Amino acid sequence: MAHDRILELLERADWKDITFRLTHYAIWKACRYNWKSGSPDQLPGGRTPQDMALNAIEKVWTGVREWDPDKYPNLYTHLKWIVDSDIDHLIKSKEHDKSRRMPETRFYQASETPNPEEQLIAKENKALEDEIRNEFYVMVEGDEDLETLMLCFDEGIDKPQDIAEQTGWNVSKANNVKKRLFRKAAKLKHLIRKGEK
Amino acid sequence: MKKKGFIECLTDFVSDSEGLTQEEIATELEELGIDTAELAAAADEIAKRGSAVRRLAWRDRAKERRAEVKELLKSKQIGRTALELKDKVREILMGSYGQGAFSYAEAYFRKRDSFSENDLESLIEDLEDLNLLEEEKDG
Repeated sequence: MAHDRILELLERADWKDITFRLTHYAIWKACRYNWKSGSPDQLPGGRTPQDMALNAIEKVWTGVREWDPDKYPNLYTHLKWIVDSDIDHLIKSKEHDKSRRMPETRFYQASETPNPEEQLIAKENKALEDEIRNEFYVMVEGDEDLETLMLCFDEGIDKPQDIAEQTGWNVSKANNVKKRLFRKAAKLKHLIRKGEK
Repeated sequence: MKKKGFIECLTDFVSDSEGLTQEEIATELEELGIDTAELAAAADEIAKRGSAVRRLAWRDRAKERRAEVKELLKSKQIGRTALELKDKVREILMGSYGQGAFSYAEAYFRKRDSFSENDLESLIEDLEDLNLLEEEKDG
């Protein structure tokens, strides 16, 4: 696509909305990992999740990560990819100790056996995940919908469409339950931070 | 396919803002201690700066292209009878008739080695048919 057309699309974008959503995305994405600083608000290099979002926006504007609307029409999705890629880069950076990564699913091939260190980390992560899971349950106890949501997470289901399908809710209800969960955002973030040393 | 873990599901679910309004996201960000006015201002500043830089880069590219086109015009054989038409075409190639006419004419010129009066007339007719010479009139 011609540069002037891309410029026109960038100028027409709702940057306030995009920035809020992207920052929200970066915050929760960063929460998934255990950072050496001890906080998902303090990433390697003195960055914050807000910085990650703003840097992604700047990369699109400056052309460092050029947006091709023909290939990827959704600008917000393109920006999320940049945030994912940049956070992944930080995770792999020398400044970050990889062994302290937050619990994350890793699938071993049949022929592949985790080494003793990986087994120990997996064991620790499992214990941590159980602890967070239990506290999450205490947090949502009594709210039937949030409890149902937790059961969905236990089953590995996290997309509103899939949740709606499994629970018999409609997508709108799944999104409303998400709003209820957001009202506990600060508590939720504190809970996820339990994994930090 | 193996299922995702609890933490992955939880963080993926909450990081997805679909179905939430901008106000709801802003409220959540404020609750997490983020100054949303400051955040929006920072993004606005990046957009303004980026827009200015991109416009400048575009003007530089257009300037370079026009210089190339001038050279192209010089190097082509154009019949003496076509000189008046050549003046009009030069104006088009200098951008006086807008980007659309400029791009079309540039492509037209690059395809040929020499131009007759008929070729130049044909080019201007094409541009008129495509309403690409309207931009000047519309301002």
